[in-house]
Amino acid sequence: MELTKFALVNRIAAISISIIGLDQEQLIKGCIEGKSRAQQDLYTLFADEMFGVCLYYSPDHALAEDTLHEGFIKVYQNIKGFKAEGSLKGWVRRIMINTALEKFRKKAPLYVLDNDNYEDVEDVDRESIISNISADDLMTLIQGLTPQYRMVFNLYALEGYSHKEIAKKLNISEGTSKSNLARARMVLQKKVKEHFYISPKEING
Amino acid sequence: MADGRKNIDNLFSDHLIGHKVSVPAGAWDRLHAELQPRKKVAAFFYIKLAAASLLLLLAFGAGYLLSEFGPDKTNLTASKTETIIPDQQTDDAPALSGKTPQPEKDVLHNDALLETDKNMLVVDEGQKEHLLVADADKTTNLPLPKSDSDKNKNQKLFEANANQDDQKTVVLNTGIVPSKENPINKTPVILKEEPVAAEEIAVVIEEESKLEETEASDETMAETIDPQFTNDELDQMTPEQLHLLLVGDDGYSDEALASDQLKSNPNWSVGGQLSPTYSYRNLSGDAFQAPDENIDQSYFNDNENGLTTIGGGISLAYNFNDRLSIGSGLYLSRIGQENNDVVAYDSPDSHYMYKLASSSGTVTINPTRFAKALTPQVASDKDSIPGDYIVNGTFVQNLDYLEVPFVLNYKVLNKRFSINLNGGLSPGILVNNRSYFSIEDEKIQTGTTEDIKPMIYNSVLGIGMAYDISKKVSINLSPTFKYSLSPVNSGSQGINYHPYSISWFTGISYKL
Repeated sequence: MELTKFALVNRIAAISISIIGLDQEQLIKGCIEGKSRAQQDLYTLFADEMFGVCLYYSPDHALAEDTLHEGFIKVYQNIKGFKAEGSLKGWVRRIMINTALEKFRKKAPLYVLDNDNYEDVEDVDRESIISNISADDLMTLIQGLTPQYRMVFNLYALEGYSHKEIAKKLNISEGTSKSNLARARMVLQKKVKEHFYISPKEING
Repeated sequence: MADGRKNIDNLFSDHLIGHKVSVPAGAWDRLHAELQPRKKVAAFFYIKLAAASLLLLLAFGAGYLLSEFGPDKTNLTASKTETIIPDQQTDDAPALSGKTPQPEKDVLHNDALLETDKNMLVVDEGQKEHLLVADADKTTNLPLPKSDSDKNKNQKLFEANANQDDQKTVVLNTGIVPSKENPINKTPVILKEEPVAAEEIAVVIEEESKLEETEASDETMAETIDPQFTNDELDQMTPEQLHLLLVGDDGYSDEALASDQLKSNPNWSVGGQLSPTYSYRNLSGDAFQAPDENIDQSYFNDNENGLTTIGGGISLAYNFNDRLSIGSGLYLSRIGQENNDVVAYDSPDSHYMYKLASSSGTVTINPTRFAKALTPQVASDKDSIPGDYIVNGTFVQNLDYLEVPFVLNYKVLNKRFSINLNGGLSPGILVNNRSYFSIEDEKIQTGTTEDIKPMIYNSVLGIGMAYDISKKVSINLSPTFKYSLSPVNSGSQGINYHPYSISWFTGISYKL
C-alpha cells in the first residue's frame, strides 16, 4: 500500500515536472518576444527574493527599489543571452548584483578609511545569539555599513566570491578587499554582540 | 585576517540568502510602463518595410552588378587569326558577393527546469496527507549539487537531516499549500519574513486532476524552480560551493556582461550601398589630332553624351564621436559616355583596321567584323570620314574603377534623422576598360579605349541623410559629386579628359 502510493507520487511528480519545464521555456521565450504576460510571470517568480538581494546591497529602501527596477530592465533586455542549461534564478541574481555594483561605482564617493581604529573582535558565538533574530534585523545592520564595506562583505560572505574576484569587481586591490572584510566583520560582530546576544538574565531566567 | 568563513558570515548568509521581501506596491506597474514599446507600431512597420525594400533593392543591384560587370558573353571581337584588337578586359570585373547572415537561433533547453524535481511534498487526494519524501541513505557530507539528480539527492538529504529521520519515507500532515496570492498585489510590507526554509523547500504537487491548475500557478512554479537550502547546509558549504550555488553555472559571466556593454558603444559600422550614377566629363585642350585632320573639341561636346550607370559596394565607417566619422569601403563605379555620331578614320598602319575617335581616346576596330555597324558612306561633308564607312548605332565607352574612398563625415543634424556633410578623396584602380556598339538590342564589343591611365583620383563632396531604424541599423541616402582631379587619359592626342559624376548613394548601415 505504502509502496503503491510512493510510485503514484513519483509518477505525478514526473508529469508535473515536465509541465513546469515547458513553462519556463515558454516563459523565457515569451520574454524574448516581449510579451507582457511572460514578463510579469518572470517578475512574479523572482521579484521578492531579488528585492531582498537589492536591499542588502543598498543603503536604503528607495535605492533598492531602483536597483530592482533597473535590474529587471536588464533581465528583459538580455534574456536572449541566457543559456538555458544554467540556473535562471542565478542568472537573474547576478544581474541584480551587477546592477547594484554599477550604482555603487557610479555614486559612491571616495571614502577615507579610518585605518587607526581597527581592533580584532572575537567572532560571534552562534549559541549566544537570541533565537528570534530576524533577517530584517541583520539587513538593518548591513545597511548601516559604509558602501564599500557592505559591498565587500556581501560579495564575500553572501555570494561566496574570492578576494581576487571582489578586487576585480570593485577595482580595488586584494589587500583592500581583505582589510574591508575584516573591518566590516568587526563592525557587525560588535553590533550583533551589543544588540542580539542573550543577556545573562535571560540565560538564568 | 579574513581567510575562511566565520560565524558572523554564516549568521548573515543563513538569514539573508533566499530571504524574500515583498516588493513595493506599484513596482511592477512602473516597470511594465517602461517596458511598453512606444505607440509607433504603424510607423515602425513602414520603416521596416522600407528597410526590407531597400535590402531587396540592394540584392537586385548586387545581382545586376555581377551580371553587368562580369564577363560579357556577347563579345564578338575579332578572332585571333585576323586581328590584334586587344579586348582582354572583360573578365576583370571583380565580383560582388552578398552574404546573408544566418540569424542566430536561440536554443532553449529544458535542463534548467529539471532541477524542479527537488523536494516533493505531495498531497494525496484521498487522505489529504502531505508526503515529504526523504532519502536518508546518505551521510552528512554535503557536496554541492552538480547535476539535477545530485541536487535532488542532496535536497532529499537535507530534508532527512532536518527531520533527524533515517527512514525512507516520512508522512507529515502539515497542510502546507502554496499561496495563490499574487505577490505584487500584497500590501507593501517592508522586510516581510517568509516561512522557514524547511517548509519552503517543499513543492506541492496536487493530484492529477488538478495538474492544469498547478501549471497556471506562478507561486508553485516559483517554488519548484527555486532550490532552497537549510541553514545547516549553508553553514557547511565552502565559499566556492556557496558561490556556485548562488551565481555559478548560469552561463552568463561578468565578462559577457562587460562585452555586451562594450557592444553598446559602437565605433565601427559596416553597410552596403548602391549608387545610381550619372557621369560625364569636362574637356580641356583644343582638338583631337587624327592622322589626317584635327577633330575640334566642339564636335565631341556636340555629339557625346553622359552615361547613367549603377555602382555599389561595401561601406565601412569609424565614428570618432557622435558627429564626426571617417568613411571608407570598397566600391565599384562605372563612368563613361556614349556617342551617336562616331567619326571613324583610316588606320594608316593596317589596311583592315579603323580607329574611332572619342574625346577620351581612340578605339581600334576591325571593320570586317562590324559590317552591321559600319555601312558604306554616302559622300557627306559633315562626317568627313576619310574611309568608306560610317558608323551606325550608339558607341558606348565604359571605364570601371575599384575605389577606396576616404571621406570625412560631419553630422550637422544629429537626431534619429540626421543630415551630414561629407568630403574627401576617392582614388580608384581601373579594372575594366571597354567599349561597344549598341545596335538595336545587341552589344558588339570593340575593345579598350587607348591611353587611359590605370588610376583615377577623385575628389568627393556630398550631403547625406540617414535614419536610424534601430540602435544598430540605419538607412541612408547621399547625393555625392565626384570630380577627377587629373585627366584620366594621357592627353597625347590633344584633349584632356576629366570625368565627373553625380551618384545617389543609398543603402543600409549596421553598427558593430
